[in-house]
Amino acid sequence: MPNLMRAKTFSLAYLFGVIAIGGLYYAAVDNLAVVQRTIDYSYRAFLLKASAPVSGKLIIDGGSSSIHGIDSRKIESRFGRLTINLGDNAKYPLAYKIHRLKPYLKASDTVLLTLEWNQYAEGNVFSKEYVDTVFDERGSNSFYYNDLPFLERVWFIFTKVPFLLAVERIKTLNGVDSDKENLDRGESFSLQQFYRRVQGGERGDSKRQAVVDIEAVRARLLSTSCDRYILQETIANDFTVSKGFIQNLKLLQDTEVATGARFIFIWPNVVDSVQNDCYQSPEAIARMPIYGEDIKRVVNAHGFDFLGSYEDSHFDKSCFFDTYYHLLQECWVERTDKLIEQMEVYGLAKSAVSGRDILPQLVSDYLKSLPVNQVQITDLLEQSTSPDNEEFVSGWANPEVWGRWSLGYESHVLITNIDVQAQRLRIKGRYHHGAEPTAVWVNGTNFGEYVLKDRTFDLQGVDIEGGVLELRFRHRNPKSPKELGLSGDTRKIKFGLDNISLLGPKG
Amino acid sequence: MLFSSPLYIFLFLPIVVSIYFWLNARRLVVAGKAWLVISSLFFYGYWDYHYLLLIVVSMLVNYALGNAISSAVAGSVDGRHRPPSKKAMLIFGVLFNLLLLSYFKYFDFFLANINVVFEQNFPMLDLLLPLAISFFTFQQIAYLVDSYRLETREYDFLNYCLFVTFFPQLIAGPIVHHSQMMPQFDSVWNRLLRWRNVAQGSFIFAMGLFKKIVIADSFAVWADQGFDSEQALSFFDAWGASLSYSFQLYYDFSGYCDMAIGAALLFNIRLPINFNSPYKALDIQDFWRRWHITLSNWLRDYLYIPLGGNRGKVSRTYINLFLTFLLGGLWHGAGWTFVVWGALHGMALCVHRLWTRAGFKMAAFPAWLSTFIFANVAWIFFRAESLEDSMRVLKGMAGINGIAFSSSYAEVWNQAVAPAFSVSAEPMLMPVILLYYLSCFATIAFFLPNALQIGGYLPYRGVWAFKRGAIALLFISGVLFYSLVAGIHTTPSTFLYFNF
Repeated sequence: MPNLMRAKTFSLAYLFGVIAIGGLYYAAVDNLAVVQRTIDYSYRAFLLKASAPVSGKLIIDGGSSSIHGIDSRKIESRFGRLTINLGDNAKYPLAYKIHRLKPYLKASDTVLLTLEWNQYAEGNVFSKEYVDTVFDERGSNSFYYNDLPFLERVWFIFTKVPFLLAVERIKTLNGVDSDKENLDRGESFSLQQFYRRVQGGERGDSKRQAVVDIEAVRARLLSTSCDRYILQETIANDFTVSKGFIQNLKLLQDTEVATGARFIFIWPNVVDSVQNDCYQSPEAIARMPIYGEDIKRVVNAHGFDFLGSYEDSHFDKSCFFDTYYHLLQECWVERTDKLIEQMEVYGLAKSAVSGRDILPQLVSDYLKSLPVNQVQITDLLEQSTSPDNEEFVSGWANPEVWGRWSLGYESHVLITNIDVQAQRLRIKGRYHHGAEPTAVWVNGTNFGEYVLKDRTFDLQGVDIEGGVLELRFRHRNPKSPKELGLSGDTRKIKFGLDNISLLGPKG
Repeated sequence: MLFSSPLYIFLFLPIVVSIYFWLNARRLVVAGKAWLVISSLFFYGYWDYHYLLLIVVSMLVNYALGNAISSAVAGSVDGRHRPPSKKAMLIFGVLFNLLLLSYFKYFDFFLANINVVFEQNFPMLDLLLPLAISFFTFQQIAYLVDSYRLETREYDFLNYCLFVTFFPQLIAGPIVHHSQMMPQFDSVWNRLLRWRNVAQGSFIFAMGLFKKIVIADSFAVWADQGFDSEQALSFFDAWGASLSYSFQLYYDFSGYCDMAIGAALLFNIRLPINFNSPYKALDIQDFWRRWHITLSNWLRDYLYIPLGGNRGKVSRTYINLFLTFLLGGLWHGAGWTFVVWGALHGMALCVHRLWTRAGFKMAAFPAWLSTFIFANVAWIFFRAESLEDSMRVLKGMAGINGIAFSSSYAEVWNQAVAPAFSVSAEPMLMPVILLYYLSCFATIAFFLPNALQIGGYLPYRGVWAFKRGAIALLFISGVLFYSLVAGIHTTPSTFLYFNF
């Protein structure tokens, strides 16, 4: 057959074709889909990088249990070592937490790992939320990706990143409607916030006021007992230490050897809710003591130490904050004192460095090394994962990673202390089951109906002198995913609010 | 391990092919066959290793029976032995296979009906249906009957295992005959890697993969949305759901068959064609000559003809025809929806026979349209979870639940037209993009040559024919790459025919 490739050439060529397309895809995702922030979105990641030059620091890492129960400043005062708390979410892969730490550790650093129970029972779980936040337009968790070694990046992209998500992120971040402006604004916002937080001595602990409607939170949790909640994966894995965790221990060993830092394990904070039910189910009573010892044994066998017993960090319902893993601030003292005592018994070395003194200087030096864009526009409403965000007055569901869904036909947002010089309002959102226009009122003025995927409104003529911005949205045709046969979710949703921001004048 | 999974495409298949030809190149023919059997059993056990024992026992029993039947035949020929009752052995063998299938597939269905009819409460077995049991059972029944008919014989257990377990056709067919397969494995010519077959097989495999991961999996979303919805379906939604399923099934099953043929071709094995553009059929008989061809042939050869075929009275022929398809429906699944689906096709074939016997003819277009619409309606019973669900979709298709439009059209309607007629429109469930998908992929199914024609497996000389050039190269590379990333974060979608 003339003009045709030889069959052998053809067969080998398509294999090279797959490799070539794969390589191009990797390069595109690696370079174009992940936000490269100069200033991290996460204050904790920022602290980690800023404090990298310091030797002998104490780093607390793990799930949210560690940021809702341990007072880093108190530990810092006692040991005279700069202490930062990096805990975020126990559903993020532990291996990636280790990769993230590695470049910033010094030989005399100590890392306290407050892992939650699922991290012993599962391998590295890559939840949808995690992957989404690595790729979101703020770069909420992009530092996790950016700190990965090359092969881990390849593995992550080809096994964990949905193709459509990658393409969508490449398109959004690099399209005509570039998000560069958003990113600059976000970085500027982060910078201002982080300055304030450094000055205020924050070390990454999540110090929040008690939840106002605590009974509602408790009622929501009632359907799942404490043991079902905290030990779900443990029970599913039949109280066995997972192979995935053991692999993570090997990665920790390698990291310890490479950096000289020391890793110590501590148990998660667990708190009863309505009744004293944590570790009280017959299954937990029978198996937890043995399981706890099993974990210790495995950890010790890999050359790491464990402080105390898991019951040391079990609190009664008077300490309940908003989940079985979060303590009220009033109970942090007890937890932290106990931990300090265990660390002293363990023989953790003290130093004479004052974190309060050195951190502002470290941050200042760190920032000087970065090409930070100072922009005038300020983000008004950074979506928070906190369910008690007061700006969302009514008609909103609990926050998603990207923002919030509206609930029902009307939604109401009230923002105070806004910049009265603002001249434009930008709303970014998304729609469930079809983009039907949303009616918008700003401080009582009807702006009409618009599809609010990315819409900027002129605020001339709107009274914002009092620094208050009240937004009302009326939605058409809200429907629940259950009604549409998509899932069992019964919330009647329509409009998803990604972001609201105030802008200066055009140009 | 799905044909469309990266594990299969990038690891399992290349390793098995490479080692198979490496062994054959060193004249280790038996080792090559053993390697294929081990690989196939690994492939089978990858889903659930518990059922490995089942398939091995099934093969042992059928091999022993087949051997005994063949020996009995041989004995009867040379006259040295008293001929054993080979018919009794055949009956025993068929019963053994049917009982095995019934126990795993139909026992709970039977019990559930007993419970309803006699108001009993016998507990269900809740057995997990062993993968491919319907296929390997039918294949082995065919082997026993063929042995009985002196059409085949096998004295080598390894060969027999290879015939049953050869992984490209193990899970969902095509249902192959021993006499079709073993001469190919024994051919010296086939023991060397043939690059032409590799190129052609890869192209056909990629075509099937494209059908599965790009087309069928897209239609699946809309089909599920409609069939699983609890709300009453409006006219367009119901048609959208039923057509989505018709094309999902078409591209899913034809995609699977293409991948099976493509993978087998890498080993220089030509599997029988199982699927030949059924939606181009001009009548229901034609449809069954194009859809799941090896099953149709099996039903004809091992059920319809043994029942008497068309050799008896006219009425008996119709009964045989109807029964064959009724049982064919039940073969697909233990449920009344499958029985109804089989019955509908049985009736349609009877009507078609009456029609042609009466000398009626229909022009090509209405003949094609009525055949396709019938198949589409019948698929509703095939897909729905229950008869009630089927009726819900059918009511929607008949317009009983009203008509809805896409949200933007509904808005225009409500503002411009509704006030005059006092009839407002609800936004529809199905997205407008479905219309584009249907237009595009229906056109391909109705008018274009199929993958086997394009790939040169079936005769075709048109412009679409596969040429080893840059376009084919890019196509294969692109599809294989996409298979690597297409399934991430989505629940793996199995092939629909794996359930049968």
